[in-house]
Amino acid sequence: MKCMTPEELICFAMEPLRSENCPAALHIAGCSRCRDNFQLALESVCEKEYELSAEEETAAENAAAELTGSNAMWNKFFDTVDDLSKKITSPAGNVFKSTSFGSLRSEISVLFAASSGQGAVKLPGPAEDIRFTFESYATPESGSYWKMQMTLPRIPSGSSLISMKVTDSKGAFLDGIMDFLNQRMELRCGLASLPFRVFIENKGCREISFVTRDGVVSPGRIKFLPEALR
Amino acid sequence: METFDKETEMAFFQRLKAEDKEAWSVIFKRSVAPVLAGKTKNGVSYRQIAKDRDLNDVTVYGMLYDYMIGKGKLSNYGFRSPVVFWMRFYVKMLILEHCKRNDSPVSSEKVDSAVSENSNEELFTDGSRENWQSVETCFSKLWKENPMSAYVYLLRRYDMLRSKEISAMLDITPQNVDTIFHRADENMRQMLRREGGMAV
Repeated sequence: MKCMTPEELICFAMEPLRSENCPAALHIAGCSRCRDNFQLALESVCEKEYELSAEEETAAENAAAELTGSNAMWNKFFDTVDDLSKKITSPAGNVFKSTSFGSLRSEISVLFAASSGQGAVKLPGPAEDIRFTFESYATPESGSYWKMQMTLPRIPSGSSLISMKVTDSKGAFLDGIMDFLNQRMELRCGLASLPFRVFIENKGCREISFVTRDGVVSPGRIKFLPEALR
Repeated sequence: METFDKETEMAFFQRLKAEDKEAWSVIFKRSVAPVLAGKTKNGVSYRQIAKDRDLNDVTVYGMLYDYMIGKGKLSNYGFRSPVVFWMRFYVKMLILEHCKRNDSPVSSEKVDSAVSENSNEELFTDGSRENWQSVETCFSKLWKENPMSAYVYLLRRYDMLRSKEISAMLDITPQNVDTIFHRADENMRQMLRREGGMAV
């Protein structure tokens, strides 16, 4: 018998005594990996429901709004990058117009306003940079917190660079390795850059991790922060 | 225990897939919060494990969301169990995986033992193929005669759940669980002796 999926293990944990479950039980007995996972499945099935306080309830709703909103922003962002990548690969499209990101600016603003519940957001002017913010899952008061601002080129071309700035919660620059878009970038004084073309080629990869000088791996995600548009 | 209705789960799943804010709020309430309020079998709180790694409730929730939506793992759900249970499994897995990636000032040993206790121990036997075949034969007989007895034997043999938890799950008293286990254990020993396998 093949190793069992989490869902198969949960099904077994929910209705263990069915006669056809004997092979599953035997497999779990003999396979340490499935045994470990079955332990988690059992806990998942037996877990007591948790009554949220009013404060926790609000936090849950805000977090859900932020997550669903930021994912929409991410998708919109990469749709635009997709459009750009088509232009960049076309023979005549080596240089983009500065207005390439124009619609992105306004759409992101709408998404941000809707998701954050903060109302209208001031858009960056045409001469201002567009920045995206990423933040660690680690909390700001912890030692493995980081925040990265990624600045897109105003007039992207095949040779443009995307610059990245990584700081701690107090704004101090961090040294280490940023693992992003399948690239491992060494940060010197909190700064790194990446060719726009590499960015386009790896646009499907959403994972981002910062490795501190001490070797601590601190993953993170794109964030809907007010400064994202400034 | 949660009842499973495929139609309801399908509708809920579609809302999660469409990144519906309210549906994802339910996941926080029914999957993330119960796990964080719960403990591993060794009594370590999942919230404490997360906190030791600089995570809080909202960031754990973010990790789950990114795993399910960002990495597209939600599509692995097969409509055979309640989505909230399935998500709870991944909340635990993500917390424990996050721990494995980094050293932590506390809890490392406890976390390791919570997920891999006995992982090198062979069940019933010294691990030889012949003995394992005997075990398969005997365990199958036990299961055929009395599935509850065989299941309690499996859970207790590997210390997966305590008698009290097994009793709540199977709706019998903890004393009954112990009695069932001892009888099943004796049964297995006798059968293995008859089979010529190694008795535990």
